Amino acid sequence: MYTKLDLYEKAILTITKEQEKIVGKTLSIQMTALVDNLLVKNNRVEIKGDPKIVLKDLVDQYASLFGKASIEVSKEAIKKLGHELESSDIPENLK
Amino acid sequence: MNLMSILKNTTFRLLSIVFAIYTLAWLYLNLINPWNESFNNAFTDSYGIIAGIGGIAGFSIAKKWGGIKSVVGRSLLAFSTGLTFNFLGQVSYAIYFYVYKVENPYPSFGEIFYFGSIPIYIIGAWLLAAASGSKLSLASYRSKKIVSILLPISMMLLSYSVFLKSYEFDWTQPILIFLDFGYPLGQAISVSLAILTFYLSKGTLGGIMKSSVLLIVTALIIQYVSDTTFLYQTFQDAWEPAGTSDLLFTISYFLMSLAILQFGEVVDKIGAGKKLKCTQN
Repeated sequence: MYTKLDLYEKAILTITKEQEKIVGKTLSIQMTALVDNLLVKNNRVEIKGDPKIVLKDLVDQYASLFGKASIEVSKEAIKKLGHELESSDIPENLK
Repeated sequence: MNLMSILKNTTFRLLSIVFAIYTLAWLYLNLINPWNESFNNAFTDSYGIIAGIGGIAGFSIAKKWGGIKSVVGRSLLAFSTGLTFNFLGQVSYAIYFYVYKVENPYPSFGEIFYFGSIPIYIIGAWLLAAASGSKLSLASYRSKKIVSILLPISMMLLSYSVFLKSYEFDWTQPILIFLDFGYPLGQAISVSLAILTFYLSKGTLGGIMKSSVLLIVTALIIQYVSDTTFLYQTFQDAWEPAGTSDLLFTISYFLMSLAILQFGEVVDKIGAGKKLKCTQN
């Protein structure tokens, strides 16, 4: 049974995996690791702070590369999760 | 893009010095000491070194962006290969001139590189468009879909009308016919993709990479103008070494190389653990 935190971490991994197709594996992991309150270790992530804010910051981090184009990649990634995350759990920059 | 950080880059410094030397040389040859045959030939046979520097640097930068495993990596590999091919094409022509004493030996072995760079640049531009969000733009706007179809067709028709309308076929030279058609039509597709990348990315492309992407687009457009000028002058038997087309090629090689180096700066910055400023569209 997944907790909400697990779902957020899954979302972050999914976004990182999708961004990897655009910018490469090394860079995508480095970008994700730069997000505050997020620990990246051995292909897993661990959220230390507010998960919704961490997810928002992740999207913003990638947006700093290619702008809206990067955000769209993140949105596509979230769509793959289906309805696992409720609408109220998704930050504004991913809607 | 942080100007100060790229100024510290050794490859950028080398590239800038070489570009400045060639620009000053061109000004000297065209404004102060017009028509000095040996200097003009030396200029024409060597400015491709700028493309060589950019191409070689670009391969390692492409690897940092994921190489063949990522869209941006593949795009940078394509542009780096294109630059390297342009350099090797010039080396080939220089060998013809200095070893075999043949000036402007079109078509020749060098076409493997010069013509080979066209499909490579097309692939690079296509991938760059994908990274810039053009797919989203195409999906959202019907008008953009129409432009995406009409622009390449229009450019090819324009190239045909300028270069090929009165073309006289010599079927004893099929390779020449292939190249005479292939160059203008292939370049028309390449520049169309560059223009479309700009057009389709408006509204989606932002962030710190926007300027680098637009720099590549500009370089491709200038290269198209260079190629067109060269072809036109060649067909009119009016091409001269160290002329306008050579200067334009020099500029396009420099801009393309500079853009690739900027991609390198960003990936190094991220690798060093520095956050990028969030600058969306």
